[in-house]
Amino acid sequence: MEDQQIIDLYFDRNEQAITETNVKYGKLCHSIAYNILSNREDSEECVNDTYIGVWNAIPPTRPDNFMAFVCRIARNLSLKRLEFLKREKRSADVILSLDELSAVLPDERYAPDVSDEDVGRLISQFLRTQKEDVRNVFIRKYYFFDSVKEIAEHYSFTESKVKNMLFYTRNKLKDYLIKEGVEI
Amino acid sequence: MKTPRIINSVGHIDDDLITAATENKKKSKFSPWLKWGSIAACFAVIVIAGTALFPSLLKEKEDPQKTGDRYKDYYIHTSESAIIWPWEYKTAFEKYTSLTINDVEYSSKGNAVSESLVSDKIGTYTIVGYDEITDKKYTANAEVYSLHNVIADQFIAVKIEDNYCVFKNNEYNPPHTLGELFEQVDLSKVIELNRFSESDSTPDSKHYLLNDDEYIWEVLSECKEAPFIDDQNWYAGDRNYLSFTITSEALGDYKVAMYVTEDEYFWTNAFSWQYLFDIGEDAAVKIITYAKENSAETDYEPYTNSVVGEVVEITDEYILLNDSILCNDPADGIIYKILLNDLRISRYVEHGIIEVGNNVQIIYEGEIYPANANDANTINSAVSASKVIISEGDVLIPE
Repeated sequence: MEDQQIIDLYFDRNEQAITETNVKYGKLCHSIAYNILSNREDSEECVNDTYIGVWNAIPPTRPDNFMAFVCRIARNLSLKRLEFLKREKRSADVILSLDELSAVLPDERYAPDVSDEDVGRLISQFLRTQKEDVRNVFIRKYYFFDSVKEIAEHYSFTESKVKNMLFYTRNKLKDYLIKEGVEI
Repeated sequence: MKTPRIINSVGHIDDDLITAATENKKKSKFSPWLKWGSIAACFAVIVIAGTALFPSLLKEKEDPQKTGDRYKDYYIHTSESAIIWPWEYKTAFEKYTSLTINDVEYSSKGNAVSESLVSDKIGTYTIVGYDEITDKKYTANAEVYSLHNVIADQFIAVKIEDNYCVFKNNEYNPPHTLGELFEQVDLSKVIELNRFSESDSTPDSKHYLLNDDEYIWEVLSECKEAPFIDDQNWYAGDRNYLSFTITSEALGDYKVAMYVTEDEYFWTNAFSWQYLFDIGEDAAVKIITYAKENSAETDYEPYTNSVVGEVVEITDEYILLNDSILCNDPADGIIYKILLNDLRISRYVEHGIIEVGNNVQIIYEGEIYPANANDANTINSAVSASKVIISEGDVLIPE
C-alpha cells in the first residue's frame, strides 16, 4: 500500500493503518529498535509503542515522508528505553556509537543556545557535502545504529574501510560544527 | 546514562537523507581510489578507535585454551580500531587488492586458497594496489586461475608471491533463482556445512555440529526455481531459523553466515552481497528438521582465538605474554611465547605498537601448543595484536 493511503487510514481512524504500517515498515522499525536495545522483548515493545505514537500523531500531522516519520519515532522511543535500561549494559554496539559521536558535541554545556533541531539541520547540510557512500554509512551507523559489520556487508566494504570512513566523517563533522559557530 | 545530545541532533537530520540511506545502494561500485583523507606523512601508523574507554559491554567471551575456572569472568571489548600499515609493512595479499579482466573488475577477498582448489590458468594480468598513506598506486603482473566448481566470471584465484588469493567480481549481479546460483557455484562442493546454531550465533545460543550435509544440499539443489528476493531490509528477526557458520576457501569466506528460516527463506552473505531466496516452507522445514535430528550439541566457538596478558619480554623472534593478571590466582598465570614468524604480528613490534609492560590481546589462528609439548604454550600463528587496559574485571581495547 502507498504511504499516502496508509496516512489516509490514520486520518479515518481506521486501525488497519497500524497493520499496514507494520507490514510495510515493521521490519525496519524492529531493526532500529533491536540495534539499539539488543533485546527482542524490549524491541517488540518499542515497535508497538511506535505504532501507538504514530496513531497519536496522525492526525493532525500529515508527514511528507512517512517512512522517515515512523523511523524517527522508533528511534526516539528506543533511545529513551535504552536510557531506562542503562544499568543492565545490554547494548555494546550502540553505546560505542553514542560515545564515539558524543566527542563531536559532548552535551548541553556546549552551545546551549543552539537547539538540537538546529544542530540536526547543520548535520544535514554537512552530510550533503559528503560523498553518497560516506553520507549513507554515517546515517546507517548513527541514525539506524547498524553495526560496522552489517554496514560493511551491506555496501561490500571491508570493516576497516567503514571504520575509517566513520572516523574521518566524525572529525570533519566536528570541524564543520565549529566553523558554523557551534562552540565545542 | 543520558542520551548524548549529538545523538538527539542526528535524530533531526532531513527525511530525504534517511530515506536515501535505506535504499539499496549496493550496486555502486567499489572504488579502490578512496582516499583516507589527509594523513600526515610522518605518522605512518594510524590507530583508530573509540574516543573513550567503555565499561563491561562485551562482544566476545574470553575462553582460551580450556582453562576452566582459572580465569576470572572476563569479556574482551572489541572497539572500533583499525591500523593503516605503510606499504612495506603490508602483506602481499593486503598490498594488491584489485584486478581488471576484459573490463570486469575483481577485488581481493584477502583470503588464501589452496593450490588443490585452483584449476586452469586464465592468463597473466596486472594487479593493482594502493598505499593509502602516500596515496601511491602500485602495479604488478600476476597469473590468474579459475577455481574448481566455481565459474570464473564470479571468483578467480590470483597467484601472489607463490600463494593463491581469491578475488571476486565487484559487480552486483545476483542470480535470479537458486538454480542459477547452483549453476555458478557448486555449493555442495565449495561449502561444508558443519556448525550451526538456533537463531543467531551468540555465546548464549545453542550450538550444534552437523553429522553430514549432503541431504541439505540435495534439498536446496531441488529448489531450482526459488526466486531471488531483493529486499535489503530483510532480517531474520523473530523467525525461527538455523544459522550455519560457513568457511569456504574457494569463495574466500571465513566464518560467514547462512540462514534457513522455518517460514521459507534461505539467506547468506557468502557472496559479499546479501543473497536471499524464497525456497518455500516445505524445503525449509525439511532442512531444519534434518539438521536438528542429525547433529550433536557442542560449545560456542568464538570468531577468533585470543590470549590476553602483559608483555614481559620482546626479542627479535618472539614476545612473551603473561596472563596472570586475568587469573583468579595469579600463581596460575601462563607465559605464552608468541613467535614473530609472520609479518602480520612482527610489524606490531617493529612499529613499537606493542612494548614490554603493555597489556595486549593477541589474536591467533590454529592452536596453542599444549603444556606437555616441547614448545609448551607457544603460539606460532599470531595474526594481530591490540593493546588493552585491564581494570575492574574488564579488558578494554583503548584508543
